Amino acid sequence: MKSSTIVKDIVKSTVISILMSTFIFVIVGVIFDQIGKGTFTTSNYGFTKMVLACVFTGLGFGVPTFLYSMENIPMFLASIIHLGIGFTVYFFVASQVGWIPKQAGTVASVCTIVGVIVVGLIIWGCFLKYNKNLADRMNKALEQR
Amino acid sequence: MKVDINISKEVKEPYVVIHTNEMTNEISDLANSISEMSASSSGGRLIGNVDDRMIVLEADTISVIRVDNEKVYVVSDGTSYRVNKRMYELLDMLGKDFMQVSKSASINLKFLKSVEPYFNGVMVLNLKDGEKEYISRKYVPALKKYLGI
Repeated sequence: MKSSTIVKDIVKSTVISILMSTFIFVIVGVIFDQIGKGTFTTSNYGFTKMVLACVFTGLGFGVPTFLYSMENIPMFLASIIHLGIGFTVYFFVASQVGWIPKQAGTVASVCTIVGVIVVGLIIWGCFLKYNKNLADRMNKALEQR
Repeated sequence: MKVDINISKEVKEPYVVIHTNEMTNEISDLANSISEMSASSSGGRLIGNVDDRMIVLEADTISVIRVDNEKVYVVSDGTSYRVNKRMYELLDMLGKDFMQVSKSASINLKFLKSVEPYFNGVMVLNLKDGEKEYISRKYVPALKKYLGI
């Protein structure tokens, strides 16, 4: 694949990842605001830091997608490296901006981490479902030929 | 090199036989040139090499074209043949039934049997002769277009 195409794909994947992490940030923010009865506030540039954390999370999950363009890396290994880098970056920035509630104790921190992994797997599952549906449509089209 | 041309009313289709005591680059190039001429006039034939033999392959028997270590192979009737051409040259030569599905592979669409999802938008293409090939995300839109999706 041409290097310009790879760069284009990386940029596209990264933008999608940043939009997705920002969207999840907004949804989770609304949920917290509702749970806290409108008391969800930040200080010391907390909101800006969280938005930057979304950007870094997007980069962490988006940039490693170039691995899927490298045909000498098995797809399974590429997936493991991709998710490994993505979650490592996420947990690092999350711990910096307070998304992991360390002050609330170990249980709360573990629950948050598990919750994030579950959300990640759900997103992963949605992509798998989309591809499964696409494959089914392709097979139907093949049968009709 | 000596050249004999035998003209006979009994020959229904022209064919070429090369007599040689060893395979040389010159012979290989000659065979490929003849194959190329034949392909352009007969809609897709090429010479495949296997076990020091050169076999004339018909396009409609070829299921997959693969590139491995910069060498190009085609699969025909379950056998992999080395071809002295680049993949894009083969795609030009073999016609519209062939579609590139990744950087290193193309398939004959007439052999496509089913599609399975794999990881991250990559899919596995199962072919009628039992061969499997991956189609990368970049080439999925072209396959969707071919299938009318």
